[in-house]
Amino acid sequence: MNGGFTFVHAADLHLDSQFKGFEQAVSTGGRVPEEVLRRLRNCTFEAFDNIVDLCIRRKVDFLLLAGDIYDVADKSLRAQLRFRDGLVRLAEAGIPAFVVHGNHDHCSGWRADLKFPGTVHVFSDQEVESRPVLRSGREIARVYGISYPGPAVSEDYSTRFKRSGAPFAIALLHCNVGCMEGYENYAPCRLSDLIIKDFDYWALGHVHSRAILNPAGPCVAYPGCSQGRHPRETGEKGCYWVNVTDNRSVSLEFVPTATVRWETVRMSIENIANDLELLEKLEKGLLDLQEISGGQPVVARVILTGRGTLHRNLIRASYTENLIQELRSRLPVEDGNFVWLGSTRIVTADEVDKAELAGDDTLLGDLLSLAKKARDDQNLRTTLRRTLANLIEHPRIGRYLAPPSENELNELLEIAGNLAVDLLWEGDE
Amino acid sequence: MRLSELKVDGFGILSNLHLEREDLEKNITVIYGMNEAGKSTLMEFIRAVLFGFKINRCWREPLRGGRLGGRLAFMDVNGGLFRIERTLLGKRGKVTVTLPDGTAGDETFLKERILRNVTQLVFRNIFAFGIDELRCLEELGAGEVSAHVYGAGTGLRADRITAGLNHLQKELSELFLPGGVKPAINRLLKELEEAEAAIRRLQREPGQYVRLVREAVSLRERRERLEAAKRAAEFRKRRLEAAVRARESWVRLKVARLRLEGLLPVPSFPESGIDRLQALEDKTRDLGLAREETVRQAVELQKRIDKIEIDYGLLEYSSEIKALEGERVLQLERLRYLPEQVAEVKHFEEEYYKQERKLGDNFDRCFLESTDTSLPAREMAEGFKLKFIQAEIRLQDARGEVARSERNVEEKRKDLLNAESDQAEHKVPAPPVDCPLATRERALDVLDTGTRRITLLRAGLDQQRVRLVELEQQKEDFEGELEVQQLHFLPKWLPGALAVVLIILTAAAFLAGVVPGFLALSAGAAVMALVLRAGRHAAGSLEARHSRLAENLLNLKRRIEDITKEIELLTGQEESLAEELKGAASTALGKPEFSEEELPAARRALEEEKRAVARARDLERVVIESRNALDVELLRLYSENKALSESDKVLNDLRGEWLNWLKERRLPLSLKPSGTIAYFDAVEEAGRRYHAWQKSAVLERETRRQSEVFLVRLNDLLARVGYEAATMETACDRVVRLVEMLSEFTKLAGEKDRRKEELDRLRAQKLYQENALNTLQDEIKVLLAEGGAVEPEEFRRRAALYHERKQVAGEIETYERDLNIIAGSRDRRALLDEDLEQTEKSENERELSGLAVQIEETEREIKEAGEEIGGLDNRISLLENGEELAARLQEKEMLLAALKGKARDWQARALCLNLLNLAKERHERERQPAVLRQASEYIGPMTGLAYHRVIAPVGRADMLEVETPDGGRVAIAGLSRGAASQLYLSVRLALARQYGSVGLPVILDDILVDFDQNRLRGALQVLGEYGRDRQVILFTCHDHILKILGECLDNFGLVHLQNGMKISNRVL
Repeated sequence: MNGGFTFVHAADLHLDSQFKGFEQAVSTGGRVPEEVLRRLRNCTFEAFDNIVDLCIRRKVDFLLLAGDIYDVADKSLRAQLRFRDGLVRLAEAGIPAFVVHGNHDHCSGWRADLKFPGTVHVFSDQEVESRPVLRSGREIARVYGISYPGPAVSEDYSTRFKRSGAPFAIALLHCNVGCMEGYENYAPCRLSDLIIKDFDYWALGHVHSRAILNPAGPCVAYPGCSQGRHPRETGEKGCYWVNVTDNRSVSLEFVPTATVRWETVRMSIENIANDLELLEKLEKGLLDLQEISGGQPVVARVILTGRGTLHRNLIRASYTENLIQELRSRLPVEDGNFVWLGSTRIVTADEVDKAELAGDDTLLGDLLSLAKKARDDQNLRTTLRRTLANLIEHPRIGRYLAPPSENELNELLEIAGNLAVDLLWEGDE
Repeated sequence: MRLSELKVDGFGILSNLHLEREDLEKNITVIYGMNEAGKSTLMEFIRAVLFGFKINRCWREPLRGGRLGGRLAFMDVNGGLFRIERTLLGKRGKVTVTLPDGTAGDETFLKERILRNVTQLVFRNIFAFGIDELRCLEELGAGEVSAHVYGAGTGLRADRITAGLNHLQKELSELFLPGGVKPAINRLLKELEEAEAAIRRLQREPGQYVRLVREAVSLRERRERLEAAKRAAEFRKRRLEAAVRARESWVRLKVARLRLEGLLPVPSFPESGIDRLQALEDKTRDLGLAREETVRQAVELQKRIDKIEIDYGLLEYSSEIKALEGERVLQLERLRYLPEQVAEVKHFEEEYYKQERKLGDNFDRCFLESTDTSLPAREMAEGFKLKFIQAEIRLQDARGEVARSERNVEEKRKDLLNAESDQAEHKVPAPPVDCPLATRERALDVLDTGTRRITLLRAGLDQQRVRLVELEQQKEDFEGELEVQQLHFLPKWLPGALAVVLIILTAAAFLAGVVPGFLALSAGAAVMALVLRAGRHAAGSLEARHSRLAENLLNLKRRIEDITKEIELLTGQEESLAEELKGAASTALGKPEFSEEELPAARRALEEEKRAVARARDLERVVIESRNALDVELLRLYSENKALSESDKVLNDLRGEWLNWLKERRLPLSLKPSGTIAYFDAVEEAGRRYHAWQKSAVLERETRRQSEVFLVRLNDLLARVGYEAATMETACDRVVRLVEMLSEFTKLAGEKDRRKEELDRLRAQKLYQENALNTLQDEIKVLLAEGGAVEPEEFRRRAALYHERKQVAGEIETYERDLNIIAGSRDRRALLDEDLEQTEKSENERELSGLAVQIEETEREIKEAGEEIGGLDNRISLLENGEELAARLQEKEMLLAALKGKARDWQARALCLNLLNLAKERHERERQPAVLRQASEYIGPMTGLAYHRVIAPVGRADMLEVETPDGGRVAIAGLSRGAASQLYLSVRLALARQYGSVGLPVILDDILVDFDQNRLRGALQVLGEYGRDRQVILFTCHDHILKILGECLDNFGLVHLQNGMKISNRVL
């Protein structure tokens, strides 16, 4: 190898995907301002543009995109055009790009008849291909990769990768290493198998949180998604700028690319005396997010927890809606640097100790002990699940809803217990 | 407690009715009588004696004599008799309760000790009710009865549960209805489906995009073809237009070529020969005239030069004159400022002497140099000044501190005297016992708590003793009853004696005759058999009764033993506590005996003593603190005095140091540190003034010297050029005059030189003109030779011929150029010539008009194609840049998020509702009140096991249900009249049992009339069992009931009433 080189490793762009878990206030007719919506619609493209700008600004030798370029297999025309435009900019700067498709944008989906620049190579979905990276006519690295032929790949694709005399071998793969929770177990493989494969760098995609799985080398890295699109995808999102020295040592630098951040404000209502105090504390918490994000636009989720007197107010839908509207009116929306309250989750409880109530021989105690029992008793869980069939198995609504998972059912039982306390507990009356 | 006697003086139709002890001694007593026999009146009488006469707002006036009222007698378990007599007095009547010991009680005693606070309503519903009350379930909803039936167990108000259920149902239906439109989830679903439909439509756009792109490509190709056709037509049109335009030039070209062929050839001719010849001739003439003019001017100029006269001697000193002129203005300035300079010298001299006088008489000019006013000297002086100031401030501060310390010492001394005076005046009261205060306080606490404890112990002891006495009495009663039972056993000798009697009688009958003998034998055997059977039956019943009594007696003995042990234990505790109290009283009060009333006074005295001791400690602490404070202040005063003397010494040392410093610098010893800087400033000012004086004197002398030098130089010059000398006053004017003369002579000399030069030029010009004339003559000759002529006229003829040929050739060239321009290029020129040769003008014009139409048509088509392409490009651009799909997808995601949120709410509520129903079911099954559990035990036998459980549904305080063995539930409304009565009876019997402490009998007024035979048997069996624990009095007018009662129960009392009178009393 002659001289070091640099490249950018990005993945999971999910171009033109829409934000999940972002609610309109339907019941009160409150609408999200169009400038906020437009910003959210475009932020995946802006993040990709930032990746392209990074490549050009730092004059990297090539760009790696490890799958899920688009959010859906039948990509939108807009997404494909914007992607092509970015690749054209890279080509004009003389930077080649290597692309694999993942489970979201697998190769059997529709694609427009768009011509990519000659510097772009999209890897086949049939077999692992390899392409050299040349500088001054000399090969400095070789990129191996394979795309997904369909939406689900259960085969361990890593077994197909074989190095063939490259000065620096990079494997570009969309996969789940070590069955990470929260992600479909596609192209499942083990870290130990990747490490012994004699590749210098495993450029992975699929997992939306950045992680360097084997810092000691060979480097196995997930850059995470380039733009958070979900209340759970909080914090900085971006890509890795990778520097390979002459002696093949690798160093990574995370570069943020997201233009909108998801953040969560979690607040306990304990010791909060009144509505005004709650409002002011929430407002401060939300405004602090703007400082944390360095002035970037923020979409926030508020989670209210704890026991307190305000719980009785918070369980009223109208109260919560008014609280949200008031908070939204206090937050900045202009100039594109907004803080928008996207959704709220009320998991507060009354001041009563439910565990203590569950020990009583009262009807409420029986109810709470049943709710507790339902966490372990499969027969009771089955009975209770049947209760939900009216909605979950409704021919029209069922298409949009899935039966609650075991954890979700437990959460629902917790809420049901709180509801029962709200309705039945007479306290010290 | 049971009803043992009833005596009616007068009440409705009842008069002087007396049910005695033997009438009511059985567990169940049936009072049988036809309608209007007085059964219901009798029950009303019982209610009236217990609760007052005003029954249902009307009086039951005696109809058959006697005074309104009568009495009831209740016997407790110990056999004690409580007589309750009510006579007419006031609305309720007057009640008198006679206790077993003969003492009397009043209404309160009746209410609290006998009725145990059972209200009239409860009594009428539970203890004495007829068929009407039995069927009024609503009455059970009242007050404490309701709590027994419904309230216990759920821990909630029934309306709360119902409200909760309704609230959940309402919320669920507001969130979602399977076929609904308005609920939130249904509305969201509709919006979601609309968004999806729009998304599907927009997602078809990529196909549309491809089609549009292809259409655009096809249209562009067509437009290119049209444009090519248009270009070809335009090319042809241009060729034809060129032919039309070129035709005239082409014809003229042909004519010109013919003309050229007719002219004689002149192979060469000088270019512009005629013009050149004419010009040469003109130049020759002009030059001749000019030469003559030059000669004339030269002669004239020579004459003028000769007339000019100049003094060259003065011009020789022109530089010196100019130097004097340059200095003249300065000289004028010197002469003008010299008097001012003299005055200035004098002024500075005076200023200096004035400043010198300020510095003192001893000050000399030599001090200006010797006095050191430098910055270090100033800093040292300033340092001395600061040191003096600091030393004086320190001295002043020290004096102030000494004064303040002296004042503080005085104040602290006064404080100490005051504190010692207060301490001497304070007295602590003497304690009652020589014992530490804390010990006495603890003893007093022991006395307080111990007194309360011993009171409670004694009360408990009294209760246990009373209970023991009651149990002993019960024991005696049981033992007496046991003995009576034994007495009722048939004597063993009775069968034998009876057999002997029968044998004797049979023998006597046989003696009288065989037939009577056999008859007597049969009768005797029958009597014997009956007696033996009756004896066995009575023995069995008595044996069972005996065993129950023995068992009760055993239990009673065990309880007596337990209570005896409890009493012993309590007695022991009381004694040890009393001992403890004695010890505490000795410690706290100084004596072992005390009364409870003494304790508050002792507590107050102790508190007073505590406060006095605390006050004494406080005063002592204050004295010590004041003494310490005085010592501290005295120490501080000593140190302040020491600091004052040190400050004084420092100031004196500084003064000596200052005088030494003045001497070293030769400064006046009277100088103060604060005035030193001002002195230095004055010395420096004197120096500055002295230097100014000296400087102005030097300047004045220099000015005077320069003026004199100027005059000497001027006079020297005047002497050299031969003029007379000037004075100081006229010197400047003379210089001006010299300058004017010099200027005039210089100008004349210049003029003369210029004219000489002009003359030289004119002479040279004349020579040049003569040479030029010769050259022109030569050129004319050469030109004529070039034109092939010798004479100018011949030259001109040849020139005309040459120019005609040249003109025709020019025309030909012009036409050629025109045709080339029209053709556009050399290649096209050939085509043009070809067109012109082969076609006529009219043909060209026809074709041209056809081509114009064709081109116009093609242009229109191109424009249309362009517009179509533009439209397609716009649509493609819209598709490429359109955000509608993204916006719709975004909307869908938002709706989906909202739907999931609402679905989550719905699921939580559905689970809550389900859990509530499950909890209800469990509660109804497992946590029913004791009354309903008891009622469930009665309902089974009473209904022939058709129902086995009585349930009060959770959340309903107004209804009961029964459950069948297979789990089915039936509400009261779904029950037959008889079954409903059985349910009510079960619940009421259970309720009466719940009032365990109330010893009243249960009085049932013909409540079994709706029961069929089987259920009647069941009910009577239940009543038989029930009567073992509580007395039952059953009124009936039905023989079948009486009959079945006789079949089911082996022991009950029967009283026959008729027309308000007891007519028989028998025991079955």
